[in-house]
Amino acid sequence: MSRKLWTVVTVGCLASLAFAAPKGTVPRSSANRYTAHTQGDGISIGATILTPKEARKTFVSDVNHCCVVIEFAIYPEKDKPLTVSLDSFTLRLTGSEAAAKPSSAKMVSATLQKKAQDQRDVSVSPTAGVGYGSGSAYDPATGTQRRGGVYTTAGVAVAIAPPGGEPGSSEKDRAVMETELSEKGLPEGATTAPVAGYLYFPLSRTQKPTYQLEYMLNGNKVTLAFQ
Amino acid sequence: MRRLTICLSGFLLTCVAVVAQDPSSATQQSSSVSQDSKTAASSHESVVGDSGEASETKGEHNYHLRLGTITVGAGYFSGPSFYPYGPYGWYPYYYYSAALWDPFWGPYGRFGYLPSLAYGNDKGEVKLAADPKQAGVYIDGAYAGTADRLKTLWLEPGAYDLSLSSTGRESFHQRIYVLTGKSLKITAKLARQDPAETKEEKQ
Repeated sequence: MSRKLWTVVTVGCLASLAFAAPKGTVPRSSANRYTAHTQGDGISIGATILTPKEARKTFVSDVNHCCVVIEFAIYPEKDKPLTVSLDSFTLRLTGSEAAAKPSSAKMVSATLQKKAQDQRDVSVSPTAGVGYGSGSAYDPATGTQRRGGVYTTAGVAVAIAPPGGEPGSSEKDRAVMETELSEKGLPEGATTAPVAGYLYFPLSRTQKPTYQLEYMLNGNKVTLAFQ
Repeated sequence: MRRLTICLSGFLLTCVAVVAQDPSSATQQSSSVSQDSKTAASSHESVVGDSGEASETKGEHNYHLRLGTITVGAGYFSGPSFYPYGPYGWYPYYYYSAALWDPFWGPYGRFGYLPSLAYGNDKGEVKLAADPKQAGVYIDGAYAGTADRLKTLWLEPGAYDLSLSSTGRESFHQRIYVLTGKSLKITAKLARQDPAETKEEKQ
């Protein structure tokens, strides 16, 4: 009995540990599996920019509302630790001065919450009724004694939700969005194994955009271009 | 002297409460991770098109057309006031599940207790489709029921570990994120286990 209990507790602990820390995504088999990739000093990097459709499929949070999302992966040289930091990235919009550093999950979730709070839900709802009644009763609407018979009713209701009633606008939702974005985000810190995850750049999309991702790799600037 | 009201029969074929979906929810996409979001689709489609054309999002309103109540009834009324049936309760969406439909009452977990999975105003929806349908569903390790009985779950906003398992099949695990008023579609296909592997496990 106690053995069973210990097994359950151990499995529970392991499961909670496994789900605790930011994990990013599973790196693809190699860097060239990503849309843009490059290699240097034994280190390979690859990145793919998510289309709005892909972002919508990948995230429950409405990341399209604020960000350009890039899936990034880095494959360090064997047994040579590498430090991954969000500060090393810059996304530039080709042909313009617009550029951005990746935002943290906390920042993105707060932005999304604010945008959701600005939206309002307007509902229009027609109603209809028909019935038959016998006897009589006082109708407060007309001030008359109403006799029995067939009666009909019709109406249209318009409801405008108060600000802040939209999905994603509550504090709980913000926390969930932060969790999601953090867990799927690129893990920071020293690593010897390949890591991958999403980067959130606070840039608005334009028509047929082309971007350049700049990454400072051991003091050298590496550029990945997206068409 | 006033007559007492006597209702002869239940007078309603009540509240055909069809909630017309947000028109833009038709644009829902089945996701690669089987996550779907009605409201995401509704609020984004006009702003960020699939072609990648987009502009800065402003505080736009979402418009919904909902079919309200349609009531048909018969009865006897007599008394101080007449009750006009119809235009009240125009928002039946909130009524039906809470008042008339609560199939998930009391799903006690094996290892823990799950809160009610019934509809709630402040909850998010998880639509579950599983193969096989009799697969056991676990939410954060707590048993919630079988997939065929849990087609729609309503969960508090949060991140959950959803697992499905069935004898002779490989388990399905997915981390899900539930937001208020949003809908996730999860399709879980549990692959058949290698018979040799199953034998080993039994031993």
